Amino acid sequence: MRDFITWLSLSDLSIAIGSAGWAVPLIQCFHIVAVGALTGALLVFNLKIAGLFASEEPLQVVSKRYEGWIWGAIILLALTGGLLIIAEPARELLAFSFWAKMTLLLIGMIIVASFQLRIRRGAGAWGEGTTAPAGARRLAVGSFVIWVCIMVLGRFIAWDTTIWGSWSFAA
Amino acid sequence: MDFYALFQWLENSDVGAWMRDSVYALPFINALHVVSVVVLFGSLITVDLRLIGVLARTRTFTRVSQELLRFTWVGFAGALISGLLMLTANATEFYVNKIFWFKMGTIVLAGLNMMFFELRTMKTVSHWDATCPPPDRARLAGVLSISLWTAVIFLGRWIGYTKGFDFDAPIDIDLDNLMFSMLAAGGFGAA
Repeated sequence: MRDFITWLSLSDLSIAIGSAGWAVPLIQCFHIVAVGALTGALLVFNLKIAGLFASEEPLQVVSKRYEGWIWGAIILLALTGGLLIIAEPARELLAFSFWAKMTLLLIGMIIVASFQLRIRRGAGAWGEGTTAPAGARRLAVGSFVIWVCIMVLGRFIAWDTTIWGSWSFAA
Repeated sequence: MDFYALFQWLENSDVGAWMRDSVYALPFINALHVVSVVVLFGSLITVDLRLIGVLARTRTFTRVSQELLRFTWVGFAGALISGLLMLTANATEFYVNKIFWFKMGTIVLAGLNMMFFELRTMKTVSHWDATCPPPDRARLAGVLSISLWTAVIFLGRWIGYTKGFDFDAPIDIDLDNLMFSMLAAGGFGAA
């Protein structure tokens, strides 16, 4: 890992982004705005499944409305996040917060995708129905909590050793 | 009103001292600020996009705004409280930071845009509630809202890099001690 970080730090792109002092803050700005857009779409999507939003509309209508938005924002986040890793490999890849974030991100995306697939197939209470089953309602609330943790961990990367102590790979 | 005296008082308060001395206060309050801001922004742009006429076109504007603006206000309250707490830590440093005042000014503009919309444009909402697109005056309020809050996020992120950080100074890369120099730059990373 450390060899990889050293190699990445010495790559032309990493040095190019790093030598322009304003580049990392600017990429972070776009990253946060994309997080905001994703939060809006996920808030509505999870509220709908939890039965707290647009109660008059079928699940399929609401889910379809935010599908492109959710995955579009995630792609934008992966691109800007990727640039941030290239710019500061040690800061990101040695942070415990980063790997915890990536793990929760994987879980969060699987939950969202499985909700979307189930609603698309539209079997039983899903699809044409306006409310999801009780178990799914609880999972929707849990799913939003996971996404909030992902954001918090993203912010914690800046204080990784302070917060995690010896758990941080940078310690 | 003497803002500088107010800022000095904030910085010298017990809360300010706690924010500076506590190891965990700043990271957690900062994370709360980010989560609050994205909840504010995310719920608000969802309403704004309906107002512009590009999203949820089959639903009435009042239904969308009634369901979502409460989250915008929760986000705003969280951002305000966490923001004030972060301010107390180094209030006098923020006082001399131009970006901080640009951000505050932009928030005031966003507030004025919202007040004008609520007090004037919303009076006629019964005429265009189910119409898509809504009248230009309403759509303009939506575009302004998204633009101003995007600017607030940019300026907010920039504040973290303007406290004693010089953009024009090149970052030294010590090729022989790369790992060491990157880790030693933790102060910069914590912006």
